[in-house]
Amino acid sequence: MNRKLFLFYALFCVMALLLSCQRETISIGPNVQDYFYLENQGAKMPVLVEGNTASGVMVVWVHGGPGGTAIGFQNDDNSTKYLESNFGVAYWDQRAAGGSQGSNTPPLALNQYADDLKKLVLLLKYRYGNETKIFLLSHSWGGLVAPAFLTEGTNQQLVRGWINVAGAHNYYLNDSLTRAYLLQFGNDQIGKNRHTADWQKIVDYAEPNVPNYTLDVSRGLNSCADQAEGLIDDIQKSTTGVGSLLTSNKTAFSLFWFASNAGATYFSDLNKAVLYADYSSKLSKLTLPLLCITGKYDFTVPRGLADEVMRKSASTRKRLLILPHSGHICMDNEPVPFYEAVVDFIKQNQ
Amino acid sequence: MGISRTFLNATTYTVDDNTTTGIPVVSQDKTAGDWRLVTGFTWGIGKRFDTHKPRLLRDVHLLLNVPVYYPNFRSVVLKPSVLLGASFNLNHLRRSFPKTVNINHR
Repeated sequence: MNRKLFLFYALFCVMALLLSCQRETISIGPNVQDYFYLENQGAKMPVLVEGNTASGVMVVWVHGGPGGTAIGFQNDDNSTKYLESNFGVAYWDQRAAGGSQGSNTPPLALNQYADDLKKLVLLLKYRYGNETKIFLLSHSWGGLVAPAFLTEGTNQQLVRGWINVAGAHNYYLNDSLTRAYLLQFGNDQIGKNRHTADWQKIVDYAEPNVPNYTLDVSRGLNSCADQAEGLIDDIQKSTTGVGSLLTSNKTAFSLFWFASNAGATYFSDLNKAVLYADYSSKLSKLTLPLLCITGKYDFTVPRGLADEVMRKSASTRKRLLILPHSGHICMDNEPVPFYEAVVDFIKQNQ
Repeated sequence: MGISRTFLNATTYTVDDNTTTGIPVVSQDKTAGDWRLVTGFTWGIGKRFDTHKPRLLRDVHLLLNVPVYYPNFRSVVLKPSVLLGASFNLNHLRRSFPKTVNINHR
C-alpha cells in the first residue's frame, strides 16, 4: 500500500472514531429532550426522554407489537400534553422494533425483552437519579413484557406502579377470549341486522377455530378483531395509526428502521414461542399499585384479561377503568379520560 | 457489494446488573454500531447536453439510490435517498497553449 493511501485510510478511521464519540447529555428540567441508546444482548435500542424530568417521576412506555414503536406511536400530542407537562416520559423502542438496531443478535425471546426493560429502568435511575420514581405504562404486547419483568426476582421494587393498558399477559386466554367476544358480539349484531355480511364472515372464521390455536389461527383472530372494531360506530375514531407516521414529523423516528424491524419480528420464531406465554399464575406476586385500562370494544385483547389481572394480583391499590367508546387503542379513542386517569394514578402513588 | 460499519448518533450505554457488589454498573460504549453487508441499486433519469458537441454541462440527473443492508435482527434494511445532480465536462475548461514558444534573446 502506498503512503498516501495508507494516510487516507488512517485519517478515515480517526474521523469515524471522532464522529462516533457523543457527548453525554443528561437534562433535568421542566421541558427536556434527551436521546440515547441502551445496548443489551446485541440490540441497540433508542430511548427518547421528554417532558418534566425535574418532577422526579419517569413514565416508561412499554409499547405494543411485538415490533411496534413508542417513539413513533406513543409520542403523540396527547402524551405530550398530559404526561410530559407533569412527568418525564421515556419512549423506548424495544429490540427489533421502531428504531432499534442489531446484527448478530440471538433469536428473539420474551426473557430478553424483560431483561431489556430491567436494564432500561436501571439506566434511567443512573441518568436521572436513583430516587426517580418509575411507572410502567404498557400497552398490548407490552402487557406481556411488563409482567415478565415485574414477576422476576425483586424487580417490582424498582418501580412505583404499573399502568396496564389492554395487556396480553396470557396469549392462550387472549385468543380464547377474542374468539368468544367475536362470536357473542357478532351473533348479537347479526340478530340486529347491523353489517350482517361482514359480521357473518367474522363469525364463520371464529366458530371452528377452537381449541388448538396455531400461529395462523391466532393471527386470523387478530385480523378479525381489527375488522370488528371497524364495524362499530360507537368507537370514537382514532387520529393516529400507521398513516400518522407518514405524515407527521416524529422526533428520532425512522420509518425504514421501523419497517425492517417489523418484518424481522413478524417472521421471527418469537410469535410461535409466545403463543402459549402465560403469566396468569404469577400475577399473585404483584403487590405494586396497579391501574388497568381497557376499551369496551377491544376484541384484540378483550376485557377478560384485565379482569384476571385485577382478580389475581395481590396489589392493595388497584383500579379498573373501562373506556366506553374505545377499542384496542383506547389511548387514541378516548385520550382525555385515559390520560386523566393515568395522571391521577401516578400523582396518588408517586 | 461492500461492507458497512454503522455508528450510533447518540450516547450508548450498557448496564451490567450481575456484579459481585450487587450494584449495577453503567458504562458507555463509545464505538457502538454494527458491521453489515451492503448492496444496492439505483434508478434514474437524466438529460445529456453534450451529444452533439462538447459542453461544460454534460448532464443533469435524478437518481433514486437504494442501499440494502443485511442483517438487522435477521432482516434487511433499505435506506433510500434521492439524488439530484449534474455532471460537468471539465476538459471543456482546459486552456490550450501554442506548442512552440519563440524566445527572443537580445
